[in-house]
Amino acid sequence: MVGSSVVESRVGGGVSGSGGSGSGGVGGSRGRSVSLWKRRERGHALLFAAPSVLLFAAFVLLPLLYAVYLSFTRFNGVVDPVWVGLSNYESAWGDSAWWNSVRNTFILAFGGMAIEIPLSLFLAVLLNRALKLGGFFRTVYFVPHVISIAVMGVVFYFLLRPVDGVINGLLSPIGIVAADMDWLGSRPTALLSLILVGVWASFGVNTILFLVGMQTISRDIYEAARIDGAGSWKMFSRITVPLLSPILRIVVMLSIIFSMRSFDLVKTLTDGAPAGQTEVMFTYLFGYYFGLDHGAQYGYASALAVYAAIIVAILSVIYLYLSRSKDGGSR
Amino acid sequence: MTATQEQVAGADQARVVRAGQARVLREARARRRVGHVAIYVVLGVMAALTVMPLLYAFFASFKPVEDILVDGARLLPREWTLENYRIAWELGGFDQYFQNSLFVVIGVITLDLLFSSMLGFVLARKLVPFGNTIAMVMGGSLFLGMGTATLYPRLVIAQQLGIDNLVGVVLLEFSGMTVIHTFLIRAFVTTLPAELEDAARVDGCGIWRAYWMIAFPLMRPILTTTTILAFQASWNAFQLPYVFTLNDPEMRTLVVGVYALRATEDGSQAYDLILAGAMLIIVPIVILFAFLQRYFLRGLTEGSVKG
Repeated sequence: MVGSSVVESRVGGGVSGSGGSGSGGVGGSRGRSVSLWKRRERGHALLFAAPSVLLFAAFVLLPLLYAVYLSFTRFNGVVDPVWVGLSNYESAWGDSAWWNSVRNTFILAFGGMAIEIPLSLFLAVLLNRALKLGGFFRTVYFVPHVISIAVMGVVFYFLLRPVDGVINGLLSPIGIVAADMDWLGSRPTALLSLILVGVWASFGVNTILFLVGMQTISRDIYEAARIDGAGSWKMFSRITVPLLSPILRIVVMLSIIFSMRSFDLVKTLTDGAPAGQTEVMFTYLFGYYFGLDHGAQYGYASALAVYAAIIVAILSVIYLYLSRSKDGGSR
Repeated sequence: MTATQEQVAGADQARVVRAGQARVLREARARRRVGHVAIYVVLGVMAALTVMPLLYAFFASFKPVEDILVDGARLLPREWTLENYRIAWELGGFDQYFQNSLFVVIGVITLDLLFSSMLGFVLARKLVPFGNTIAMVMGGSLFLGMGTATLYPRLVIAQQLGIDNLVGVVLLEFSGMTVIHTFLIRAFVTTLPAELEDAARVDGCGIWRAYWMIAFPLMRPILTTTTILAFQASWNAFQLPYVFTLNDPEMRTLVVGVYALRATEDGSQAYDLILAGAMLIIVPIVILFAFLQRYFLRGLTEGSVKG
């Protein structure tokens, strides 16, 4: 296939060479000479596309198919895979620890959002007032975004140490928490910690995205509303939010999708502790792939992966649908 | 006479109105000043909450081991020491981890600069057959979110190809990001005028020279963005390098090295090494961010609107 296109490109090259010398400057032949050039260069163009496309095929597409195949087998990496049909999916259906992980994933996703979206909106409204130090605050809020969340998981693990830890050391004198509060020791507080660290990591990014959106809203609209006697709450709810809704939608869906995929923070901060109660979808199935406790149950892990992919895909399709309908409306 | 009276009355009235306006303005200004103070307090508190975890970890990394675990609320070290860094670097393996991280970052950026821009270019100029199909399949994969799910298959394929090492980490990290970067570059190239390339074509240039001599230099703005994104993603990456180095500590990157210290089974975390190692990751990228803010911000807005 590659060979034939090379031959074709050589033949095409000869033709375009003669045509080019005869009528290169004539306007009518431009389209023709472009398509000839394209044909002559097609072999090279394929070489241009090859590296990215091949790597994508080998390390994104092929693994997908392989994972789906494995989900129908029993496989421990030593003995050849044995076809077992849907039995992995059936076991997963009744695996309460798995569904607990799914529930945790949703709690983290929507709990984080419930704090983050209002907070980011509020900060963006404040920053949108053209303050002298606005740029400084924007920069500071952005910092967590450039830092590895996996490393921050480990750092927060240190900061949250129950005895003589930094966060307890700061909070217990004010009387907010007990001096030896074990944040990661029980499910509710461990989930709360994951949510708050997640908010710490991403509220700034959302604030900046909202701010970018708000800066495209014309000042004249606010001016007109002010003359009509609208207060700041009315201007926020009747002007800012509606005009911001395209960005709002994108931010909401992106945060949901990113939290559904979350792995790094949970793995490095709680690692499922206590006793697997804070596992999320991907840390849980990761355990069946690489964990020491479950051993290598690649077939079962793959079935869980397909479940997870379906859940993420459903939410992603909703996102796609919403962003498409937005594009359609504005055109 | 009535006219002058009216004039006087009018002037009085005007004075009263002006005084009233001045008072209203003064009050408004005072209210605004109070409002400003309140805004700055809120923004300042959030800024403090943002930097405090980083500052505490930063200063703790300069504390002697025995001070790290006591008196958590104390920010500054009683006694400054570089001992944690020395031990992490010389005995903790972080010199090796640092080299590995550099290898991954440089490898990924090089591949990304070349391959993503090449594919983005030929897609934008519609030079390959089935260009739209390629773009659609690649775009579709973004919405599956199978990152963790396909870790094991990817490892197996890398093993089959004999690249279950840092070279594999480079190739796989790149293959995960090339889709978005290709799309960003494609969108940018379509905004570039094709006339220059046409001229080169008439002069007998092949596709390689049209790309390398003409299009590539013009892509600089978008390539700055994708390179920053590539750096950020590969320097901070955890999952893939972690899986690829499970059986080979020598190949750990900095991030994996820090996590390995936290994940000890007996719970005897070496916080001195953890904190020093974490700073080796955090400080360089924060410094880079301080200098290249604009580009990081652009990467965020372009990346998220597209992605």
